[in-house]
Amino acid sequence: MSTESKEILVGESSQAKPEKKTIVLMASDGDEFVVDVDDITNQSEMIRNLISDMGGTDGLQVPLLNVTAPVLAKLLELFNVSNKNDDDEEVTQKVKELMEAELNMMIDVLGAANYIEATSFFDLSCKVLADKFKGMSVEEVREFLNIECDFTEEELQQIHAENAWAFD
Amino acid sequence: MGASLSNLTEAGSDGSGGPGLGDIPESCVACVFTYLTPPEICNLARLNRAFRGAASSDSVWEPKLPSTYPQLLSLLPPETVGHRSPLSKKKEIFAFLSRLIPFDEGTKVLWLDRATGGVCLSVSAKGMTITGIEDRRYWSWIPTEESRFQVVAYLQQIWWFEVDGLIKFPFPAGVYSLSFRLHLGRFFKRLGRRLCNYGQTHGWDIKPVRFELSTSDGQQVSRECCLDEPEKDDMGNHKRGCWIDYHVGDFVVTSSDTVELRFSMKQIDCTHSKGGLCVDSISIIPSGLRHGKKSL
Repeated sequence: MSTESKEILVGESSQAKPEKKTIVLMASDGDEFVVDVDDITNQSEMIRNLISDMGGTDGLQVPLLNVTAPVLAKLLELFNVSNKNDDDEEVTQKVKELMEAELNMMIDVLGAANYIEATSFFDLSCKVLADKFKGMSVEEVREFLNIECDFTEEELQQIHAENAWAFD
Repeated sequence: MGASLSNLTEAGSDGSGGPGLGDIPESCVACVFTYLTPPEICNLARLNRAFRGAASSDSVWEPKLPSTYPQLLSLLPPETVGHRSPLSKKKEIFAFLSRLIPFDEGTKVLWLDRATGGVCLSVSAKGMTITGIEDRRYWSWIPTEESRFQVVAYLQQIWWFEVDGLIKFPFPAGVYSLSFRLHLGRFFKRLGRRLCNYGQTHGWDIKPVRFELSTSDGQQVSRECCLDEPEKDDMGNHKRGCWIDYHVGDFVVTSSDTVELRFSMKQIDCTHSKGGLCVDSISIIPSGLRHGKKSL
């Protein structure tokens, strides 16, 4: 398959293509993901720097302590979409779909992207959230994000006073 | 190399029901804010503590400020900036600059457009050179709430109509539009109603007024426009009795060096007199903000 070299290599398929350089990402729960070096360094500044600091990729295993296996799988899936497309349209659409279907997963993916310094993917995902928030009331955003208002009545009045300039 | 996709989906499907963006680090919220306008950010500050914290961080507000904001602050009289104590936070600076701030003895005001952070400037007729202004037969000053400067120049009648201005101002790079704000006829209030008197309004339908602007780096724009309509039909004359922004033209600021700008408005054909016109101000705003304003 012509697209094979772009796929995330998992398990056996990595052995089928021994000439391709790969590294192993270890999720917090110990699961291992074999990924194409070009594909991952294209996205993650942290891993790019790590490889250059280590002087190569031979047998490199990167433990990602804050990232669970499902989150890492989803992140790699989205990287794959991003790597396959020259523009951001397709991956933006996928992130949007993830946000609408599984917001918690999307937030975790965002956190993971931040952690491994996948800057452009992170920015793009934040823009998807920002576009969603535009035109929503505070109550709607709270409901959408499933977060509680943790202010006292007094604090809310103070916040209102602090920000009144933006609305008058 | 153990992981298979099947056990991942299983583990991922429960989603663990945890809280949403409440858990997200402030840096993520801050990044979301880079794509929102200042009013949108201020609105979201009410969400919860994490959002409020990010909504006041300098890293969020610094990019919203115009690049020349230190120069803008230095233009203002110390007492204007001073009594708000030190403007230490970038958000406070943005909030401060987004009000109308008078400077140069009240002949100019500047402000930031709240949604875009674009720098806007207005210069009162008091800050311009008006030919014959000291002669009461020609011109007078009318105090009014209809001007943000609380006063406009009113022309009774004159042959040589000329208004000039020169400003040096630290515009950030961008494209700007300059307009004159004019009013045909003399307005007044009677029993709470706004009325206009056109008894002195004459001469503006005979020949056009010439508007010009030029910059110290060689840009020049001019246009001509008749301020009045030659025949008054039954539909009424929509050039009379209201404030109209006459768009002179656009200019480009490429670097953030202080730009020197000259502008003028002339009708100096002395074969006829003209009069009955109020001159309020000029305004300079980023050209992207000009839509939706009544202008000719």
